[in-house]
Amino acid sequence: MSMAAVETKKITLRTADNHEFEVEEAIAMEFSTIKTFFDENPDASEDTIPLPNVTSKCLSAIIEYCKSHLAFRARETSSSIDEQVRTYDEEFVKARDNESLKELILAANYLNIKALLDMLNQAVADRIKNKSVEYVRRFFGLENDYTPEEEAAIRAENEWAFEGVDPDDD
Amino acid sequence: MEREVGLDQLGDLALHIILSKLGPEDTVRVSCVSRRLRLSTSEDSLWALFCFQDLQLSTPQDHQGNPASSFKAAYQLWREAFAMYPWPLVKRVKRCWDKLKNWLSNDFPEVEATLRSGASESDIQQLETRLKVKLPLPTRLLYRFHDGQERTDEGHSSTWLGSSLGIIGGYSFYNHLVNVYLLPISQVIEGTRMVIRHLGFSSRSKYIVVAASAYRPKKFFLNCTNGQLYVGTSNLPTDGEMIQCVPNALIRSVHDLHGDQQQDAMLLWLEEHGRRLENGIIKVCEEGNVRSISLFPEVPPLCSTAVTNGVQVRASAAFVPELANLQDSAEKYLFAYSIRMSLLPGGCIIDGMTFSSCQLNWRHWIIRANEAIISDVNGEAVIGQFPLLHPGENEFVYESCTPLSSSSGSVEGSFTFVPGRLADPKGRPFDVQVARFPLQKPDYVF
Repeated sequence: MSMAAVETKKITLRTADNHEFEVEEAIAMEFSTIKTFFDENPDASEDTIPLPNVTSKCLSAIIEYCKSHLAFRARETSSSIDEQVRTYDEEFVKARDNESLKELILAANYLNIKALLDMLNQAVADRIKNKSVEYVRRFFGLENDYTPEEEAAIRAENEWAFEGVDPDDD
Repeated sequence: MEREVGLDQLGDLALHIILSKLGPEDTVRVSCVSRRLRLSTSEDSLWALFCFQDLQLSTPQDHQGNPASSFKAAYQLWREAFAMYPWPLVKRVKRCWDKLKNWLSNDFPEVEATLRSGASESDIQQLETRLKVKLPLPTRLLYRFHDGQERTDEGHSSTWLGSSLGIIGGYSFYNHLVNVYLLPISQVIEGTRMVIRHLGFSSRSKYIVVAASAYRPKKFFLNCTNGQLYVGTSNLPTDGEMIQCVPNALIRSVHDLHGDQQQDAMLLWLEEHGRRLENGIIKVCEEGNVRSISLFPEVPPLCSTAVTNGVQVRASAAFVPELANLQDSAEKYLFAYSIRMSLLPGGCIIDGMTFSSCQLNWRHWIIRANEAIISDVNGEAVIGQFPLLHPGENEFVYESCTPLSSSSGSVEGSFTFVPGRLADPKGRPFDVQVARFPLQKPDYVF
């Protein structure tokens, strides 16, 4: 309502667990889902946007990520900035367990934040790269619905894919 | 029962991205996890990506170029065809051939057509049995992709054309004509046996002939034990003398099936040749009506260029290993050089006056071994000719040679031209510079 030049516009988001988050417009526009919504409904900017598929835990992490990356992008590009971005991304995923990673992927997917989604997918790939079939099974929380013969057949057909796998260390 | 965030909810898009980042081997392992995942791993767009990344394929085909039913099937066929080799080495050898073939298809398709299709494992096994050698891994793979070159001049009379298509190329000066082909396995066996018989190599020697020139006796030998490549010098028939073709320090793990560090001299040599062709350091040249790959460099610093009064002279040298004589200290090495001269379109310009032709009268050469002048000669003509230059004509090219006692040196000099013609000069003679060009025994000897 107030048109003071210095005041930045804020958007309100409501998560699945009923928390409300106020974020600067610039950050909300990083969520392509929301940006598209506003492009098509320019008068809706005062309303609270419901995000039934995103928990508050996820959203706060995502907001942090977008804030930091916006700040990085505002600075001049240089190899030391690239290095800082890499370190930030590494730290962002390092402490999270597999569950949180997957939740974040779902949220980033729903909000359509391309760079974050790509980074998270890479992190998952890094975690299961060169691991055994069992490890990957546990990671995704899936049951093996093959018969032993079926699984053996896949392995036999693709011997080249089963060399040099890391031993499971958990 | 899936209590955590399961895979179904992860979304097909995220899964597709994760699989594409994982690569082919992990993707197959993921397909073993459950039927649900197998569907995602079977998406052909994923395998199209892997085919492109690993093999630069844009259509599904097996290693012999036959179409495959899908990218997934194609990838599978490739891995099975080369299951006995480290995959990184397979990719590297394919890239080496691809680089050569890309250049050939643009600049010299007649040579590309001479490349024979790949040898089979049993063809290679036959070579190893008959010659009692074990081929280094990279060389085996090189043959799996292409079994050397077809030579079309066997017994034909009008044959010079058929012998200028060597993929390694060559040079000619005076009556020394060289054009080097990669030999197919059948010729490797025959050539090696002849060498053993005629040159007295031990029948247990680990050398095999892998490349040779049609006319002059220039032969390249691969040592199957240490993986190094050698070329015979003028003392080959008497003493088996050879010069190594690739820096020794780069050769490693040639018989090691594990790891991805394997490189032998054949692979390094062909990679270097591909680089030189791709970068335009050497090119296809036409002499008479015959095109061939010329080993005289075309770009600086190995090729010098100078323009004087509108006359341009380009000059470069090539090392001639087959005429080297390592036992002769004064004339250990021989270098051939190619001089290309032309009159620029603006004509011959001297003191503001323009002439529409000029003719060579004298040559003056200064040859150095390292930095010491070993030769300072003046003489009439070049190879007995007095080239007459007109603006915008093709270059007048001639080749000559000089011995050198050291592996490093240089040539520079000048030509004396008259404007107009020798029979009818239009002004006083003037000197045209030949800028210094190096004589350098190279790290990679072709």
